[in-house]
Amino acid sequence: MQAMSGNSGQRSGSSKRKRDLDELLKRAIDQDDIYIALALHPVMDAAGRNELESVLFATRKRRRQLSSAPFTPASVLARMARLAADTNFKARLARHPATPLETLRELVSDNDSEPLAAIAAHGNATADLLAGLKWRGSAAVQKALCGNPNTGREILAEIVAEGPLELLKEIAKHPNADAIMLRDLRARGDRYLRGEVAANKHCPADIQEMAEKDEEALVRRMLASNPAAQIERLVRLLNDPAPQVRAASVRNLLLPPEEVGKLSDDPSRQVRRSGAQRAGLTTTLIEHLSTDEDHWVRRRVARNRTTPEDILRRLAVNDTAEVRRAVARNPACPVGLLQKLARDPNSWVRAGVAFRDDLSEPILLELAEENDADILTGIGQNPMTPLRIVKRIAEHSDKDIRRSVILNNQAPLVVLKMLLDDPYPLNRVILARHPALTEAEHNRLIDDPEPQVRFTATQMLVRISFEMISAESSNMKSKRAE
Amino acid sequence: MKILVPVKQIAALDEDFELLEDGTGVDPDYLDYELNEWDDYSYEEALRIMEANEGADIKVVPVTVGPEEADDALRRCLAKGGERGIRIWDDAIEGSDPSVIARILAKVVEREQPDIVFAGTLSSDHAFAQTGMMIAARLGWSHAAVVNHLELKPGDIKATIHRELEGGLEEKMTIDLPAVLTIQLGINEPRYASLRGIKQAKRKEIEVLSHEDVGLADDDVGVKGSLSRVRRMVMPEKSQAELIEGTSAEQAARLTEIIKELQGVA
Repeated sequence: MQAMSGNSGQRSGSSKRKRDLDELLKRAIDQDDIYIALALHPVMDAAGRNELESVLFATRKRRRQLSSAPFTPASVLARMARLAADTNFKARLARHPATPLETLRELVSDNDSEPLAAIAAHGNATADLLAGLKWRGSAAVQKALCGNPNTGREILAEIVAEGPLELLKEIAKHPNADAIMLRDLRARGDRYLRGEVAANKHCPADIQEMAEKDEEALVRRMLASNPAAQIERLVRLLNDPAPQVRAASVRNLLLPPEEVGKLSDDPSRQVRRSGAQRAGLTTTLIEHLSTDEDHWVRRRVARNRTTPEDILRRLAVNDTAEVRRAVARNPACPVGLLQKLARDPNSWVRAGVAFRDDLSEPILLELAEENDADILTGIGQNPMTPLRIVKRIAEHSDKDIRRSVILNNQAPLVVLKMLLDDPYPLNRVILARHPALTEAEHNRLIDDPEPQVRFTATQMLVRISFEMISAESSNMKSKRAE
Repeated sequence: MKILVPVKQIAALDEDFELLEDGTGVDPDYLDYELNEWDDYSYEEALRIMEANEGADIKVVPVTVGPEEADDALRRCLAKGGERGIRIWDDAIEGSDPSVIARILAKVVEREQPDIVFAGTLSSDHAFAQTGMMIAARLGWSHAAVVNHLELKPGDIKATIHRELEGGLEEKMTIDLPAVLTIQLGINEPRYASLRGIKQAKRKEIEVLSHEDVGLADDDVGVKGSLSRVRRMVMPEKSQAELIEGTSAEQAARLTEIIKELQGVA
């Protein structure tokens, strides 16, 4: 906990915060509530943590559950690592994505290959930790190291020297694989290995050259997806006989948009679809693609933010409902056109309109009268929906429609209060994170029968408490500066 | 009218569990407990009949065989409706197989005199699918399994039901009452309990009975009274699942092969 400062404002804020935390701590202990205890643990001092741990670690079953629960905080995992006796338990902790680096270091044991493999794969393991792991003799550790983007070049080079083909493929796509390694790898494997080498951003020019001429379309496709490919090469690949290679080249953002025009009449719809979603296309090309026989191509043009208004207007009357919906979901769609789409005969198109926050009130009100679940969900989630409509949606019998109000970040507190007693537990879990809820609502939610709700409400109460201290501290500083 | 609804608190397996040293079961540390999914539907069906006939004095009573922790399953039911539940347990009941559970529940039926019993088609942990049918056999009542539609009003002497058969086929039939029906998933959409209901359920009566209270002797229950015994639980060495490895392209190629194989193309 923060030490109290000399000024009275901060002292009163700190005192309140301490009282709040003490109250929550007491509640966690008295009610033997592991969820409140979990949410509190990261912010408590050593004494408070010890008290909470009497609840959290009371039984073997609880420790086991916490070692793999996705919401277990790093502070709890760190303490549990010191209690870890058996290999399975250590492996669970090492697999947990929130386990911090220092705890991973503590879990390293040369004899247990299962935890070691989990550490080798862990996103929080740094290059120096990974460099110290014993990998020889364990295929699982080697594989994990090859798949971890933090593994350094030196280890990769050692594994390359003796690793099986399966691992070479992992190394070939590793961000720390260098040109020398990739050149060596290319000579040692099958088409899949050559493909991974060709796609690696460190792939040297001579290997790219060979990949461009490779007889396997897979290798050429991977080359076309290389984020560091030469533009001239990408342009040449647009003439490749294999459509998947041309499509990959079109998707590569290094390819200048003006080059995409060459594929406007490509026989492969896969290629035309890839082109239709690119930004910066010429108006002539967009125009051309907007009449494509494939509706996915037209959909992508309709959703493309750079599509001109007149083309959007034409697509808004397209025979395919999905194309019209894509126009409605396009942020560049003008308000006037949205009004037209709001009266589309297809409810899926009107639902697309309902999510727009630039709708006029009359249109919102018109859509709010519908019974369709997708439309009402859009209206409930729309920050521009008038209060009386939001209230009505919050009282809907369908739990998914009510949830749309909870997902609306602009929903007023008066409506959110109506949902504190929502019978659907997931709705209350999401509600507990709503930014408009105050301390009073969170204090009510920590009595909720659903554990996730209590956990989140406690986290929010802790956050509010810290924000209060921080605001008071800033105010005092401003006053002193005056 | 009274509807008795046997429910079960089932054990759900953690993803990497361990077996007991003697191999007869799963280490309880790796089990979580929850209400059997089928029972959620059977209880909902009973509540719907009660609510559709307001003023007809219909009582819905959940009953379970299990230790104190099984009260949670009963309270989950009572949070949605009903005024009292029954739990039967004592140390002698430990180790009972479905035949004993059915024997105990049949005794509860004799004691409670319901007009109809709704059980789940099966429980998702042991999946014997026997309890409901064995209750009916012990009572000499009519029975029907895998019921996915029910028409029943207070005072009826027959119920109209649909049973789910293989291949999407349904069997429409009438059944004499009293009867035991085992209810299939999807017969209705179970409700979520309101917070008020959950709070009220904490105060509702749960009558706890022993095997002697329902008129059974020590030899009738537990391992002694059971017709079957679990010898060992094992994990098969080979499963049909295939872990697809390799690069993304290799994985995609293998997936394509599998799809073609399944379609009979390859």
